[in-house]
Amino acid sequence: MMGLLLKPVAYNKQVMAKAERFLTGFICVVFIIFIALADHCLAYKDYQERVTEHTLKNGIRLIILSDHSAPVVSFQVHVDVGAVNERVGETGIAHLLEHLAFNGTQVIGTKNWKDEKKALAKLDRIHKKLLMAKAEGENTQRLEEEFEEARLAADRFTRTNEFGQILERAGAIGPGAYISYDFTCYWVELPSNKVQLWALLESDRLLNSVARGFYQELKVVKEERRMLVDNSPWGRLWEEFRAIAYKAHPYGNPIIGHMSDLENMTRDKIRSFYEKHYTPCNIIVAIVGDVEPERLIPKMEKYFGRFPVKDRPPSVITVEPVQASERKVTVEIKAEPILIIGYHTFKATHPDRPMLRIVAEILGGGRTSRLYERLVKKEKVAIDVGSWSWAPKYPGMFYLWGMASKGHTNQEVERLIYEEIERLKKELVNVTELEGAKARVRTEFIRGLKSRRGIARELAWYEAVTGDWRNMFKELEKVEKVSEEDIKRVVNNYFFSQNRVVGMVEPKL
Amino acid sequence: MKRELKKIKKGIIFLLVPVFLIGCFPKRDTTRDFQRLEFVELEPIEVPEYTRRELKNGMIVYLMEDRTLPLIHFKALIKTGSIWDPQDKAGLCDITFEVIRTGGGGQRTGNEIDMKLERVGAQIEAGADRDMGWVCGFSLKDNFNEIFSVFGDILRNPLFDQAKIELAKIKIRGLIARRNDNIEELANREFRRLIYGRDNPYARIVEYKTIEKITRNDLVLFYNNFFHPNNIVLGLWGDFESEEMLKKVESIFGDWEPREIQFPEKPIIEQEPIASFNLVIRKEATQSAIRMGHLGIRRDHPDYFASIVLSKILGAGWHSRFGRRLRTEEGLAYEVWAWQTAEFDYPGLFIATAQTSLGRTIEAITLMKREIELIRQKEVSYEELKVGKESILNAAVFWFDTKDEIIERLMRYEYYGYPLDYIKRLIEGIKEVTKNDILRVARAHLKPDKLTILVVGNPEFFDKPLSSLGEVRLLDISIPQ
Repeated sequence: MMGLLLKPVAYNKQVMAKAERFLTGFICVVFIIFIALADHCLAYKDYQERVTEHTLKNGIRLIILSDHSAPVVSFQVHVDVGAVNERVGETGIAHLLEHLAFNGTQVIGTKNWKDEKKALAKLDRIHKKLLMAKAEGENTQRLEEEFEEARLAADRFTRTNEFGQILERAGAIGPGAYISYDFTCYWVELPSNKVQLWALLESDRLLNSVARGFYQELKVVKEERRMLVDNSPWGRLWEEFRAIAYKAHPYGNPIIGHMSDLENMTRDKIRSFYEKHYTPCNIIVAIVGDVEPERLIPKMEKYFGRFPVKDRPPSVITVEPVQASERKVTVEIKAEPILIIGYHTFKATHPDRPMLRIVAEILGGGRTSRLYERLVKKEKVAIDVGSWSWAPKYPGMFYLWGMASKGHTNQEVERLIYEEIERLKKELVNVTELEGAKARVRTEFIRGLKSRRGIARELAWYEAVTGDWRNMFKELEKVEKVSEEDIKRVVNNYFFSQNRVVGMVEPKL
Repeated sequence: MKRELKKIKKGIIFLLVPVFLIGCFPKRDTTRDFQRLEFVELEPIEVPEYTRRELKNGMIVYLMEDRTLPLIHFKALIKTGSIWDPQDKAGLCDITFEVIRTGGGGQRTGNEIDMKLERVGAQIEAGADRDMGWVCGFSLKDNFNEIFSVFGDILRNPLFDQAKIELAKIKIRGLIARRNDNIEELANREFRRLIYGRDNPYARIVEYKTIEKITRNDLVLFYNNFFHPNNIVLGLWGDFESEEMLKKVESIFGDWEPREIQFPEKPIIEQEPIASFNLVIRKEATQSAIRMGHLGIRRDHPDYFASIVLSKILGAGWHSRFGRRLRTEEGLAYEVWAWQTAEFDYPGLFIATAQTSLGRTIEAITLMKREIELIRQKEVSYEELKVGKESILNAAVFWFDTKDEIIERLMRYEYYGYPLDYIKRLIEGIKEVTKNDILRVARAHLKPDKLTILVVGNPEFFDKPLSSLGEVRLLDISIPQ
C-alpha cells in the first residue's frame, strides 16, 4: 500500500521517504515462551557471529558479513548526510548530489578532464550571469543561447553514464541510490569476482565526484519532482503535511527540494556541500555476501584509505519546539480522500522505540489489527488503513493513514481512528494480541535475513543512527520485554490532540 | 534433474581510450586501472537439488530444501485467470481469489483464519492476474503443520461467506473510484486497452456494473471450474526434509478427487497495429505521461532472445540509448525507457514510456520515435552489442542467488508448459545473438510507422499541438456510475 505513497522508480532508485519507512523495519525478538528457542536464536546468532567490523585508518567504518551461499555480493555505502543537513535556499541539494554521483569523476566519465574542467568553468560563469539577469528581470535570450552553446561544448568531453555502464557490464544489479532526511545510500550488487572493480570505482566516486552534467540533471530532478510530488495526490499531501508538522526543524522541508531552490542551484553550492559532508568519518560501508574479510580489508585500505581525514561536519542544532495546539492541512484536488494523522515522538535511540513498534503492529499491522478490524471489516468506511512508527536520527513521528471507501469521508475515518486510540489509552491490550504482534515482528525480522541487500541496509543504518550495528540484533530483547502496561503508557504519553498533525486530500468537485 | 550451466564468460574490459594522467593530482590516479583488472572465473552455476513429483490425482509438487532459516514457504498456482471472466461480470476472478482467502475455509471463518495466522506471524495470501491464479504463504517451521492445514482448507473447502463477498466488492469499488487519481496508472491502463482492444479480456477493466452482477453462486461456479488437483502446481521450499514433506502434502491433498477441466477458448487479439494519436486531458497535470508502442511477441517466439538484447540496447538501463540520450543528455525525463514485455502465453507489448514536462511533450514523442527508427536503420555497434550481452550474461548469477526465485521460476515453466531448462536455453540463446539478429529483429518487430501513441496531460501547455503529428482521438476516461 505504501507503494502508492512512495513508488520505486527508474534505475532502481527510491526517493522521498521510502527509505524512512524501511528504516523502522526489522526488529528482532527473543523467545521466552517458545520452546523452539534454540533454533531461532541460532538463526540470528549465526548471522551476528559472521560479522567482521573494521575501521580504516582515516575513519571509514566497514561492516562485513560473509555469506557464501551464492557467488554474489551486496554493497551499501551509507553517507551520513541527507536533506536534514540542508540550509535555507539549498533544499534538494543532497538529493541532487546523489544524482550527480552517477555522472563520474575526474577520471571516469570524461575524455579529457583538463579541458573539460575549463569548459565547465566557462559554463558556470555564463550560468551565474544568467541567474543574475533573470533576477533583474532582463531579457536573457542571448545569454541563454550562449549558455546552450557552452553546455554542448562541455558535453563533448563527456562519456555519458560511464560509471553505471562499467558496473552494469560487469553484471551488476543496480547501481542505485536513495536518500532520506538523515542519509544518502549508494548500493550495488555484483558477482563476487568483481569486488575490486567495485572498490576502485566506488571510492573514486566518493572522493572525486565533479558534478558533471549538472544542468541537465537539474532538469531530470525537476521532472522527478513533478512526477512524485506535484502530479501525485500522495506526494502533494505528504509535502503539505510535513510543512506544518515541523515549523523549525528541517524535517519539514521536502527532500526533493523546493522548485525555486532547484531553479537557483549552482555547481559551487553543490561542490561545497559535497566537500563538507562526504568525509571519511561520515561514511559507513556494509558488505554482505561471498567475500573473505581478511582479503577484503587490505583492498579497502588501498582504495578507500586514499581519503584525507577531515573534520566531522556539524550536526543539526535546531530542535522542534513543542506544539501549542493541533495542526491541520487540507489539499483540495481532483482525487479520492486520503487521510494522514501524525503524533510527534522521539528519535531512534529512545527507549520507547520498541513499544511504539508494537503499537504500530497492534493498530495497523495485518488483517487483525484494530484499525483494519474496525474501519475496514466492521464499519466498512475505509478500504485500507495502516500505521507505522518513524524514529529516525532526530525526533520523528508516529503515523496513521486511511483511505475512505467510496461514499465515505475522511472525517468518518478520522473519528474512528481516534476512538480506537482512546480504547488503547483506557484498556490494557490482551496478552494474545500482544504476543501476536511480537510474533509478526519476529517473523518479519527472520524473513528480512533472506535478503543480502536488506541486511546490508539495516547494518549500516543501525551503525549510523544508533552508533552500533549490534543494536540490530539487540532490538530483540527490547521488543520481547514490552508489556501491556508499556503500551498503555506510551499511547497516553504521545497520542493526544495537542501533539497531533492531520493532513487530508479532499476531493475537489 | 540437475542442470549445469556453462561457465559464464568473463571478459577483461578494453575500452579504446588512453589513460589520462591528471596534472592536479599529486600522484598518478589509478582509477582508470579498471581496464586492466582481471577477473577470476566464477564457479559454474548449479541449480540446487529439488524434487518434482506428480501425485496420483495429477497435482504437480515441487520441493526444495533450504535450511538457512527456520521458515517454510508454500505456493499453489491454479491454472485460471481473469481472461475467462464472463464479459458482463468482469472482476469475478479477482473477487473469487480475494474471498477464497477472506471468506473462511473448512471449520473456520475468515476472521478465525486471520487470527490463527497472525497470532504466530504466518501469512497466506491469494491473488490472480490475467492468466494465473495463486494462493501462497509462509510460516515459521514450528507452526507449519497447523498453518499448512489452514492452507489445505482454503484450497479445498472455501466457505465464500456472503459478508466477505460484500466487503470485497466495497474494496473493489473503492479502487474503481480511485483509478484515475494516479496519472501513470491511468496511462498504463488506457494504453493496454488501445493495444489489445477496449473490451478484450487481456485489457478490459472492472466497472461498478460488472461487480454488481456477481453473486456467491458465480464464485462457487468459478471455483468448481478450476480448483482441481490436476490443475494445480504446488511448490514448497524451506527448512524441511523432502520425503517427510511429501507425506504431509499427501495427507492434505492426496485424497482430493481430480476432474477433467473444460477450459474456455482463449481470447483472440484482433487489433492490427495502426498509427494513432490519443489524448487524455488532465487539466491539473504538471507533466505529460507518454506511452507509445504496439502489440509484441510471445516469450516462446524464436526472436525473443534477440529482442531482449535489443531492448537492453534501445531502452533499458544505464547503457541504453534511451537512458543515455533522452535522460542524461537531454534531461527529458526522470523515467524514460523502452522494452518488449513478452508474455509466456500471449503476445506482450512493445512499449516506450516517459514522464516529461508539458512543454516538451511533442519533442519527447519525436525523440523517442526517432530512437526506435534509428535502431532499424543500421546495425548497432559492436561495442553496444558486446556491452548489452555482457550486462545480461554477467548478471545471470542473480537468477540463481536465492532458492525462492529458482523454485518459483521452475513452477512458472511447469505452469505454462515451458521446458524446465528454459533458463539455460535463454542464456545460451543470448550468447548467440549477433548484430545482424538485432537488426533483423528490430525490422521485424518494431513498427515506428504503426505506433499507437497516448498522451495524458494538459494540452494547453504542450510545445506544439498534438494534432501537428496526426489526427487526435480524445479518450473518455470518466467512470461509468
